[in-house]
Amino acid sequence: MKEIIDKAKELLSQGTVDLVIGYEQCGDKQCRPLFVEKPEEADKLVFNEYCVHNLATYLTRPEVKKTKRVAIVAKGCDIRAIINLITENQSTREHVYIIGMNCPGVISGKAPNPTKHHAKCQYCKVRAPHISDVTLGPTPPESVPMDKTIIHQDVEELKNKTKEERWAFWKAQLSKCIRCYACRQACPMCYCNRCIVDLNTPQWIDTRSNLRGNLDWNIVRAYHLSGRCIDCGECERVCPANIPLMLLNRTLQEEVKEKFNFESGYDLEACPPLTVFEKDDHENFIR
Amino acid sequence: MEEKWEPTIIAFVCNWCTYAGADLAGTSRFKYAPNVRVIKTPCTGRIDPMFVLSALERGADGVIISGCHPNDCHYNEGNFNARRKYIMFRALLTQLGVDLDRVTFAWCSASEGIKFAGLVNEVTEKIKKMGPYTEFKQLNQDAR
Repeated sequence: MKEIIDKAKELLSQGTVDLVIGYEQCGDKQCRPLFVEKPEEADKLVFNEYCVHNLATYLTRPEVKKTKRVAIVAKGCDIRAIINLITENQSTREHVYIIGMNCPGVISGKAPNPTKHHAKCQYCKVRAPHISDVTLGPTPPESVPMDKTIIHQDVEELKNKTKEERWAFWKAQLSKCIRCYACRQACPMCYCNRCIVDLNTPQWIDTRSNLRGNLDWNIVRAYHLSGRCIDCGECERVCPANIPLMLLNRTLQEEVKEKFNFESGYDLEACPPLTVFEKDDHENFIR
Repeated sequence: MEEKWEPTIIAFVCNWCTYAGADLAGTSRFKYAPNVRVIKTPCTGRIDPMFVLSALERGADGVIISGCHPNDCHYNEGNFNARRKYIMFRALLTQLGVDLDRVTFAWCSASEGIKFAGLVNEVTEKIKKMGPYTEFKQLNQDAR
């Protein structure tokens, strides 16, 4: 896409940014992240429906943090991640130059033959970037507001099962986990220098790939993302064991929306819901 | 002779209210079930949900989490933060199918010795009826 290339060249040659993070084509139906430091390298930049990666995950990496300013090619959902990182003081608005992309939706599924449209794109509210320094690309089709019963159909279905059925379901799913931590690496919100799973004094989570450790790891990861997950679905996409991780994350998103009336990644001034409280928070379970 | 099964209850309590309440229950000679093991923490805000998981995994049949009433926190807002954390954690455990009847939350102040004794008795009775918690222990056996 010419306008991204032009923009990247302009930003780099004028010295506005040190680094542009974008996508390059690799194979017919696949893109991969590309780091551009010199204007002449920018020709490889593309943007199309295979640009599924959430590049905001690189913002918290030390190599990117030490740049003077970084430009990032971001879809609406990636911008939500960037905003969440800013509200958590992991980045600043001044440090990130957001090249917002109008996005009609991306294609999910595993390489090399991804086929179906990503579920999150059907109800996406940010096809046109909500916060950006520059917005590129043709205006995308308006998204139709959808009821949460449709969006979270699988979450609701699971909720309606019995406790025993849910436990059996998750035991079967999580026993597949091979503890590669790809979910953690892809997640833009997982930026702890030392993850709880790497701590060993005390060791909270068994690091071997057994059901107990797998369960602990995935419970803790979902819990640590509560009120922070921005629904990019990267964890589920990169999971080599095909565990439906977003089912857990979306359960908590629903809970945050219902109890604290909060959706992450839309407001630069917002406080993450688990860092603040209301004196009259809902509490019918405490005696 | 086979020993009768007795539940193990772990109580995570805050130093300033519930621990003092438990102390009061003791000095006032209120009788309560000996199944409870009290673990003192500085504040309910310190009680990480990981504590609850670890307790259940390491053989607890029930867990009690208790601290100061809202607005009574020694650190002003620890219990408010804890409340939000546990709203989220309960939603997560519910979706996973973990039995939430085994985790009890209560506000219990330093003057409520009798409430603490009653709480422990009530939870012990409830867990006795429910029987041993085997789901997580089963995982432990698989892990070996």
